[in-house]
Amino acid sequence: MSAAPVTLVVPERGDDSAILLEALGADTAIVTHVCDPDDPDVALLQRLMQVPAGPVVFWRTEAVAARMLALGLSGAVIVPSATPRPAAYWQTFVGAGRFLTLSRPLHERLEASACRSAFFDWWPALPETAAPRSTAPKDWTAVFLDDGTPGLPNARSVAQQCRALGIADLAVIDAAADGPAEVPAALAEALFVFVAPRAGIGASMRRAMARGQVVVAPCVAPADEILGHLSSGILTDPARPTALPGLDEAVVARLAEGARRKAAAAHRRWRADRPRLASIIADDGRRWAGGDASAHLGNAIQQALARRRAV
Amino acid sequence: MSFSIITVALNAADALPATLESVLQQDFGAVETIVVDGTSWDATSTVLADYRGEIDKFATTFDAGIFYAMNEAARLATNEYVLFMNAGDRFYAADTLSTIWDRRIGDPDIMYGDHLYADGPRTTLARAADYGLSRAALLKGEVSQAWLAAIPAHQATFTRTALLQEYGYDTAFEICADHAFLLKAYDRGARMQYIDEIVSLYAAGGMSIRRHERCRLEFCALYRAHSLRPDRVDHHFYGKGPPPFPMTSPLMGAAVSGIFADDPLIDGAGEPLSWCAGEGFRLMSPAGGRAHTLVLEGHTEIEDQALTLAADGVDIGKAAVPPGHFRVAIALASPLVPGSVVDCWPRTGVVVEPAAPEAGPDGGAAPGGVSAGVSGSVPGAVPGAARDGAAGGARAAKAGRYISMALKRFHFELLAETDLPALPFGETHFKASHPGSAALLAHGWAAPEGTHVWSIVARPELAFRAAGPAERIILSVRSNPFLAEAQTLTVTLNGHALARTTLDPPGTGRKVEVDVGPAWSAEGANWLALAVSATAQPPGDPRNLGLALEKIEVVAAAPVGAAPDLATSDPATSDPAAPEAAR
Repeated sequence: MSAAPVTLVVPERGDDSAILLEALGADTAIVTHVCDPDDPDVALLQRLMQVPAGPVVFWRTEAVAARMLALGLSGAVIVPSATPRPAAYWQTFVGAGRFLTLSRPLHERLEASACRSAFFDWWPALPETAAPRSTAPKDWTAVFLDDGTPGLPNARSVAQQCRALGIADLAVIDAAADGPAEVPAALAEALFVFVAPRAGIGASMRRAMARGQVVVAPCVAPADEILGHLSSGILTDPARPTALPGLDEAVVARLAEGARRKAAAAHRRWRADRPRLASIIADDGRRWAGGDASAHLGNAIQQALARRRAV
Repeated sequence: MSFSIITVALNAADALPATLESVLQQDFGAVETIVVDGTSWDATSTVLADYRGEIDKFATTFDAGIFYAMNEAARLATNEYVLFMNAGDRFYAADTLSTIWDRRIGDPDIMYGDHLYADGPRTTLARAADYGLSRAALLKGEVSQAWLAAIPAHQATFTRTALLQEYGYDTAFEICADHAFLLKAYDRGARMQYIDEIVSLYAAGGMSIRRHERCRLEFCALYRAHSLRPDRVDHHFYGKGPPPFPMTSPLMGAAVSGIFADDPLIDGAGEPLSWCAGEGFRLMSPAGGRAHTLVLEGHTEIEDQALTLAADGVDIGKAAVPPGHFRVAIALASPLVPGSVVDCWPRTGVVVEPAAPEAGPDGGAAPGGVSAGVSGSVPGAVPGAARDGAAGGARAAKAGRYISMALKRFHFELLAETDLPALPFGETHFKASHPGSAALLAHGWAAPEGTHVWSIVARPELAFRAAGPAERIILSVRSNPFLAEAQTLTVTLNGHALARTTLDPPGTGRKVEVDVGPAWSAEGANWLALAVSATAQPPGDPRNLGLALEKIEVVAAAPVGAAPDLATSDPATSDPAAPEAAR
């Protein structure tokens, strides 16, 4: 990691850059600037022009980076927001920055647009103590993490889904309550967690899976990137929310266990992938044989082939 | 748990090393590495010499196609699961095998995951789907690019070695034998587990890309043969152009006689309907399983038409056929073994008469000669109906032909013999608000209603997996109120007659308690038949109803060593030889 501090530009709302801080570790000096991406202070732009040699990370603030293009942006790391943008928009950063994405579909779109991108898949650690849950149908309980956004799913549509699935006990709680620090008892104890996937990386879904809960979410991003339908959760047809699979105790137990095991494996892989993230932010000259976590095996293969040739 | 990772190669000296290294880099211990060379003439042998001592088994075979080589290689495998990682492809990560092992739940025969399609430095994630859902969609002909993309790739599929060695890949397919294998295995009851992990990077430029037309032919031929709607599969692969296949698929059953394909009626959508003989026609049930329902779709202009089905001269089903476009599902009295011949006897038929020549512009006969109409000695038959009755029908039946209806398509519905739903201990209600319970109704049942579900044949069955050892079941049933006499209910479990009781008086509900004894399969499939002595048709209802089932309660067996519950134990009722003992 570069000794120079990392300059981090984050949005006022929707800042999930804790992932980056977790990956870089406490030893890395980070200078954070909070701004409105659509209307950043002129003073911030001026400060960014004078940033020293250290890397500058535009976390969900590509709009700020775009303003810097005219001022001579170079060597930037851009973590795109979920705002839909055309390929031409991203291509304006070619030569000025590289992309670090937390969504595989966006990563694929960037690569298809000839933009340099690296994909990372953050997953939380499994809780040290997991609440035991019965998967018998009589004990099925659910929570709906309601973020208050209009549209489906909402508390009424989730109640309808619960009736269809045979879940008698549903609690609705504020989605903001599902933070990394403390988990409300109703959420921790529920077997099913209904989620309204919005922008972001779906941290609530990932945490619920790590707790061994069965997440039920519409088949849209980011849920469709996180869950495998009937492997580690349930994805519903957004147009037909009550078209649900038949569940029984064995299926629910399998889904809960599948979710927990997926989260465990994915967290292990995320931990192993952190050095690549640090390398890409520092632009330390290492080559990575791939745009995602498969790059580690790609590098190992190349090194093994080189050793074999040397012999 | 152990894996055999097989690589087949032909002139792949450049691509082979990275593939082999990705296998050798796996952090999972029990891996057997097998390479089969299709007699390469490039430097493949030199490459393989570099890996001498690291490859567990090596063989050279004839270049008789990739699936021939894969079959040969599978014979060498001795570990529990086989995965083919062919030259040019590689594992996603060094911990892929250990992750798959960690995520295995139960004892699946086939585990499969996702793969990355790698086109140079660009990769695209191809996610698989639950195979049961994919299979159900194919049956309905719901085929699309997204559906096809979700079929597991062989580079991401771990197959039980014994299963692969038993079935093998069908080398009649040059491109999609792996897809054919999955269908065969699933249909024969293989347990599948989808694991949403990326298994491999699949290198672009495979045979399916290079041989586009052959690819289309094979995929269409394979999937239509496993669908009840081959027309929809054809449409996906060939659009509106004519596919080089017949209109039916082996899953639907076959027309044996009495259906005339030589002068089809063309409906308003441009689809052909075949005329059926007035004296009846004969179908054969498909080879894929036991048929429980015959579904017919077509058109008739005959009022008061009906069909009686018979097998070996015995009536097995009956239904009214409404005039106009119809789709009728006729529940069979008992499931038919594959290859059963079913006689379909219409209530009535009409003889097609030559139609009067239509006047041309000059007052003469229309070009094309004489068309045909239908004369009806039968009440309700409309002259000319066979010519233009089917929403703009463009072709007429031949004059003099004795016809009953025109069939658009038919198929037999087969019993699901695998992947049965679980019946939990405690109460299971059969009503519309509990959609999961419908999955337990194997055949002979109508759709669940508000509080119950009606049987529509004399011997309906439920099929399920048990949650564990059971002592008895308690059925809440109601007899048919439209019968003059009381019904007798016979409860049979897995072929063992367990109880017979009279449901008296008609229309009343009661509980029937049945000791299941050794007939209950705690781990395998259970087939529970609730046969009634009589059925009756309510006024205004086309269905022939047997009994109404409201709920089943399963009482778990007491743990081994527990004292028997003398209050409920009745040795007589658990004796399969004493069917009269129901309470």
